[in-house]
Amino acid sequence: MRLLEGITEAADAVSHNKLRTILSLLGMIIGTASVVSVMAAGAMMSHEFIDQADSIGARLIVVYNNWEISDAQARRVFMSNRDVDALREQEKGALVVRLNETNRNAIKGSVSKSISVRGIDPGYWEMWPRDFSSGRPITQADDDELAKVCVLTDDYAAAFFPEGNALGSSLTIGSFDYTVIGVIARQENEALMNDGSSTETAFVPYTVLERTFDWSWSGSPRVYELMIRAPSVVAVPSTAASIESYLSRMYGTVDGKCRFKVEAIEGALKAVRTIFAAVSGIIAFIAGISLFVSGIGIMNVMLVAVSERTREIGVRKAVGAKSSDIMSQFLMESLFICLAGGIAGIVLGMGIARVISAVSKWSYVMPFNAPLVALVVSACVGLFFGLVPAKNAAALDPVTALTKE
Amino acid sequence: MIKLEGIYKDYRQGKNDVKVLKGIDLQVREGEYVAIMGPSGSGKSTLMNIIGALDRPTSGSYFLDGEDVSKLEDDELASIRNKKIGFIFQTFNLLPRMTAQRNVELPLVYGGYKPSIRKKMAMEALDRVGLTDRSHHRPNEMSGGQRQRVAIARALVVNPRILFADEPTGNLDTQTGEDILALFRRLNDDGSTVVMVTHEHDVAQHSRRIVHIRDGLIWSDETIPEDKRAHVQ
Repeated sequence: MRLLEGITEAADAVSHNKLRTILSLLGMIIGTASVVSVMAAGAMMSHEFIDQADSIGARLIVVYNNWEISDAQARRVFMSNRDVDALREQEKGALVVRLNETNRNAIKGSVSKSISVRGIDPGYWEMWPRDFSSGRPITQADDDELAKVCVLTDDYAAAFFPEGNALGSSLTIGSFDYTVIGVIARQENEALMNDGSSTETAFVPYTVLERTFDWSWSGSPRVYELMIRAPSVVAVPSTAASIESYLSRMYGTVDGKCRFKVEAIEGALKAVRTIFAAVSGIIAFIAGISLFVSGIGIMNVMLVAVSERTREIGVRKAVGAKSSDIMSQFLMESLFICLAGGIAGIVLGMGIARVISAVSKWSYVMPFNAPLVALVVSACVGLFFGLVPAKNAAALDPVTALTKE
Repeated sequence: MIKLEGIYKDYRQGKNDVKVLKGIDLQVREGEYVAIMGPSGSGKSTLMNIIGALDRPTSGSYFLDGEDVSKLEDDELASIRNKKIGFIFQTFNLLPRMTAQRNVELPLVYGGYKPSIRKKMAMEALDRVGLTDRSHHRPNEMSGGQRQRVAIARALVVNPRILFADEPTGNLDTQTGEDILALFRRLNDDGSTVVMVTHEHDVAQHSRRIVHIRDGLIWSDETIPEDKRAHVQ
């Protein structure tokens, strides 16, 4: 039988018993509505989360030497400033910051402490925003002029300058004197400031720290570590991949491995995603149960329909319907019922998603695949649970079916 | 055209096999009008089902147009019914949700005809039974006689080799029954082969030949002379 024929006939048969059909569909509607709304809520939540995740380094990629490749296997190589320029050129929209850290002794008057000196490019605080209790961050001009300036944390500023006159004062770090140009306020949420610095860190212009090293033995200055912020959370994997392919191209690979680690710091994001996946899993399970129960309801309705229409089946067979014709007729009906319920459920689910968005103040997102998934699932329920009734109908003996009262 | 040879039919009832047909030999030629008569339980319905390709004999051969259909598969039988046999039932057996025209089209749907051709053929068949003006009515909007005419149109629509009528007047009042029988007579005069099952002698008198079945065997087989046939208005 032709498809259109089947659809009109199915619609006709279904509309004949509206109330019963609608009742049996409730489960279907609820099931698909929950599938759609849960998927939408998930999408809204992760959009919301991506915004917040930015502050904890969700877009960050760290590049450093892969120490797993030992000297025995290969000569150790380091990135150079040329690579940094090349990567900045290649990764438009990404922020590339060099990082170098070493321990030095800092002396002011009678106070002497070992501190961690971190040489940074000016983009560093764009990546790791910090509040300054006084002064200013390091700028490109500081780097260009090789200004011996430093930024201290509150704690250390107080340790070296108990009178509170740190700003503008001079502090001896290693063999040079640096002027304190800024003091970073104590961070409320220290755990979230995952840049690896501590209260004992003093920040200085990258090039200034680079010049304090003696590179004569290695030929040119080495770049030990890069922090790269991808243009978006979504772009993190592709950015990381393109950086790795650049480095592999420049320095070759050892046993197929890049000589450098290109690491996306997604840990926190991953943890939350895992939790969210678990929650959606549970809700999907509940939706699945409701779809299953509704499937049984549909099967029941179809079984009743087959028994009520035994005579009709007999007549159809008498005038030449093959078993497959009867089978597809009833499958089409249950498919039609389920798709109708599925579409109603999708509309309801979209409404629920709107309500969730309004109540939670999340911006409304409807992933394009949510209605698709719901539609496919409801079609599958229709076909699966319609199979037994349709088979029963197809297997009816025409003589028996015709004589049934 | 129809040739039955040694038809037996057993039904299993509990532990026992019940022999319903016990060796039927029968031939029906093209253009005949045969009434099959017999008391209930005689096996006439079973015989009807076998001739109508709704059922298969336990043993024996049934040749329809020279083809042995007694051993065909279900779907092959469905195809035979679709192309060669037109059924008319006592209770009309129209599909209640469909209009007269759609009911008449039903065999054509399974025959794989295009919708436009189906409609044309259905209207022609309705015209032959005098019901063109009722084509868009549903069965519950029609009288018993009209319903049976729709059923006859449905049987006629594929131009079957045989029209099979099972107690076609059983659910109709006398006058309407007479009208339906007159219609069969006309169709037969126009060349259709008609096989009718009935237990009413008056109805059987409309045919040209009466076959009596009793206890699963043919009891008598007689031709009705033209002057002895029932009178038609």
